[in-house]
Amino acid sequence: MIGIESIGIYIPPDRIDNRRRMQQFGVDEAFLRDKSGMLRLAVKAPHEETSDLCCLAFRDLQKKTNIAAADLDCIVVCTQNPDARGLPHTSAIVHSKLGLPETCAVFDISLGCSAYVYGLSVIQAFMHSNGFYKGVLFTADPYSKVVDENDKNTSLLFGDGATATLISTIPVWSSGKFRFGSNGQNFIQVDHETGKLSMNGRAVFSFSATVVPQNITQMLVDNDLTIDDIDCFVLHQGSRYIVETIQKRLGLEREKVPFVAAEYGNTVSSSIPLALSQLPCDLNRIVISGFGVGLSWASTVLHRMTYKE
Amino acid sequence: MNVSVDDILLILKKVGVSIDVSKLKSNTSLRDSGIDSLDMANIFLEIEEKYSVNIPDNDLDSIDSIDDIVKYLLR
Repeated sequence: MIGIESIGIYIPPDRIDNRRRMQQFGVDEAFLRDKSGMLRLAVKAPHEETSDLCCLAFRDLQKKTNIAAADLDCIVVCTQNPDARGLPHTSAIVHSKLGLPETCAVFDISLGCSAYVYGLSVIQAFMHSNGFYKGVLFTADPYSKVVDENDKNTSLLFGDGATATLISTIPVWSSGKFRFGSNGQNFIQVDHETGKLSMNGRAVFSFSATVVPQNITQMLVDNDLTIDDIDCFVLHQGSRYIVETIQKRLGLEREKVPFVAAEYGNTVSSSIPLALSQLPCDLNRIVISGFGVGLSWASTVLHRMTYKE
Repeated sequence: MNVSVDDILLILKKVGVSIDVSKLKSNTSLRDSGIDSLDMANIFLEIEEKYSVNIPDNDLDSIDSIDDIVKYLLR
């Protein structure tokens, strides 16, 4: 059995306070708190690269697990904002910075808000088929590299962060069946001339509100489970509004669908693992659901493992 | 297609807009009344689902009040 053993995190200490930008964008604090949900956005230092964020998350993972770099069979980095121009791949740069062994397989996955769920399936299957014992799934997608600070649609939402999930043969969480989806409509994109992010907010909202509840419902059927079997739904923290909209459309109580990103923002592929790292320890069955740029979406259920003494 | 002002008011209540829907006049601008862009997106999604229509982005500027919505759906 291969699954999630532990999650290391890194949220940069610097913050942009959205409350100081209310006048600029014609919003009030009630909108920030109750609708977009992001009061402050984490922002990396200008000199920090995506690979640096990965390494800092790995250091946190090492504090939690004592994992040694020499023990790793593979690493996968999920990012669409790689170091420099993406060649070499960011995972190769992380390999060098962490001093990983030559036997360690490394590669990147280019996905955004759905990356953690896709990445979990990919790394687990990769490790299983190759007889690996320990791997790390990284997420690091610093949108501060591409956000237009004058764009109301995006500038109040995205924050920087990174996570490092230890995938091993002694998991705390094992995954069930996954259900994936794609629709190649470019409602979220980086303009090739300006290098700046743009997003059709209405289209992304409509997609998220309609496709994600269906995907979660179908995934639960695949796993012979119902909504009532689930202790907690960890949705991609796109905004408080979309999390609550999906919660209502699934007929769930608010307490089962946490929103935890208010103090650091929408960290794209890191949003699910950051939320997982903050959950209480008494949950047994969790749904994780990532959705966004692509359009791309995926869900699965995580089961807490119990081991006999 | 049957659609009335009351039907649209029910949608506004379902979305949970922050303004007092009972005091909203059918010819008043929804945006000027304080309904934000997120609630507007949700309102249009609910309308599209309820009436099985697609409302393109290009048409949004001409739909600003409940009367505009009813007129648009009945066209």
